[in-house]
Amino acid sequence: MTIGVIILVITGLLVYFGAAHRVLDRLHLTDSMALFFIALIIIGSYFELTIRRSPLLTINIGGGLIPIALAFYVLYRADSSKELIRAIVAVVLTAGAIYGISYFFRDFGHGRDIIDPLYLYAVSGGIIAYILGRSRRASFIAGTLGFLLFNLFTYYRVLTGRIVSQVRIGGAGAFDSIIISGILAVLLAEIIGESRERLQGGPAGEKNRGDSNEK
Amino acid sequence: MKNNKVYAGYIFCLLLFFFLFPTVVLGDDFIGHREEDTVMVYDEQGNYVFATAMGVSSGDRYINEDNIEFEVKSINGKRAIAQNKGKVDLFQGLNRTELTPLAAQGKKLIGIYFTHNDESYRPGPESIEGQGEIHDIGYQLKNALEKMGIQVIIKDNLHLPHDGAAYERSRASATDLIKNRPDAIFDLHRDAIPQAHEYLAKINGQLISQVRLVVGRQNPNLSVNDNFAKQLKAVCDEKYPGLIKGIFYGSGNYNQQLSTHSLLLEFGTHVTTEAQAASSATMIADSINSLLYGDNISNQEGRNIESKNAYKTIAWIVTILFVGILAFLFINEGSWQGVVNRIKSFLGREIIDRGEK
Repeated sequence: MTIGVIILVITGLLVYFGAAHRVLDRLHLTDSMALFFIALIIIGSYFELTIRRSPLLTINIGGGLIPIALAFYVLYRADSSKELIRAIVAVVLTAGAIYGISYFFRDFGHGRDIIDPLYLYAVSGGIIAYILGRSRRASFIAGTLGFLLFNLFTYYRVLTGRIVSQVRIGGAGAFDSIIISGILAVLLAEIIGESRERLQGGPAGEKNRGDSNEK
Repeated sequence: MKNNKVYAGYIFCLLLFFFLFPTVVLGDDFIGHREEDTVMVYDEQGNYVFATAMGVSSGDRYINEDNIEFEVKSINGKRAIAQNKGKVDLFQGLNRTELTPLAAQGKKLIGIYFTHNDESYRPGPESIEGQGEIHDIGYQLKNALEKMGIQVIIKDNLHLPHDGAAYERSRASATDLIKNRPDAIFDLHRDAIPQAHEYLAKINGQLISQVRLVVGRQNPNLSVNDNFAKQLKAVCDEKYPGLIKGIFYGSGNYNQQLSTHSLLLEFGTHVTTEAQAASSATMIADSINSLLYGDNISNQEGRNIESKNAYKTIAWIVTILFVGILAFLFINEGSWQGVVNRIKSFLGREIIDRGEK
């Protein structure tokens, strides 16, 4: 690798994990805890647990287990049952949206190449969670657990013989869609939330809006 | 209680919509493999440029066999119009001895994987549920590279179904390969246009199917991978003229954000044969070896170009990030004075933690 390429790779990683840190910082975690989780995600990316050998189902520690555990922790810390229900509904809706998008783009690579579906998954998770919960935390939960549910649905299709495949939950480690989706969803909620509040002249005053006032 | 029922209704309707709508309304037809699915691209004078089963979108670029660059300007159904942007200098002012080797200090390790495992060639089914014949082409490429002393890791993991999430699933395989720090990774495919003549060429008296290089435009490594693609074509053009059909710059990232030497290779189309694709695999292996590890004594120029492209990308990333953060802070604070104060406060202490969580 040339020096320029090495610096490019390092820049990309700094931006990516910098964004991840800002997102984790929003999830009932302190700065140092967020850094600790990022370290866990990076190290955990090198480890994969085999849940079932045939048909293959695995879960990557860094790309699957840790963000999913974090999402459940945030879910557990929900301020109200309303917020909890909204988050769960957002997860189901996001999983459905991901399935719908993956089907619509079924010819991607040999068909409707408009935008990489990768970005649409996260954006749909972010928008759905924001509409339902107006909450960054709900967005993270929807982004990560929505993808988990989509993976599990794919495995169900494998088990029932509809498709021949393997499922590796969080298989791409720190760069898996479970994490990318969670990060982008929160950032999206943050941008939408801030813009909306600015446009309407201040924080929304409705009650029971999850964490709509958090910055 | 009433709300819970409403939510349950939402979930039920959504499940019904997403799990029934696609298969019932959209059907299971795969776009491609048929005459009517082929997108024909013409220049502004009406001259034929190329055909593809990959949908084209405005802004997509294509460098043809003769190194003429085109940019898609408009699409009307299955007919697209592209602007002729003139001839591209793949060597960027250098001669080939200055281009190679790109990975002189590399590990002599290459990674191969298959996002669309089911892709196959006629005669026989064009798609095989499981490992299609494209995997055989991967092994052909592997054997050819290994004969030159290059170590090759192949990932045979399945990423089916062949849908919009296939690249998301194959990212796990690409990441596995990256962990071994290879000098390059290749995602092997074949096109789906039903015109065999589009991909057939005679090289050294042998009928082979040409290879199309595909570069994703939606990833931060675009400029570096673009450089890699151009240099690979340049080497192939010299060693095996006609082997590379062209370079297509499509929308999407095709997992190329994971590596700076990452390309999608399309070996022929489903109506060319596996044997023809195997022949081109052997030829491209020789070119890859030349480009990455060199078959001559070279200077640093080629590597300097790669670095220059990387620096350009870094400048873009930093600029976009800076503008994005400023815009967000402005939205957040409502005034430039507020932005300045926020930055001062950020610089004055550690990362913002206003205790509002």
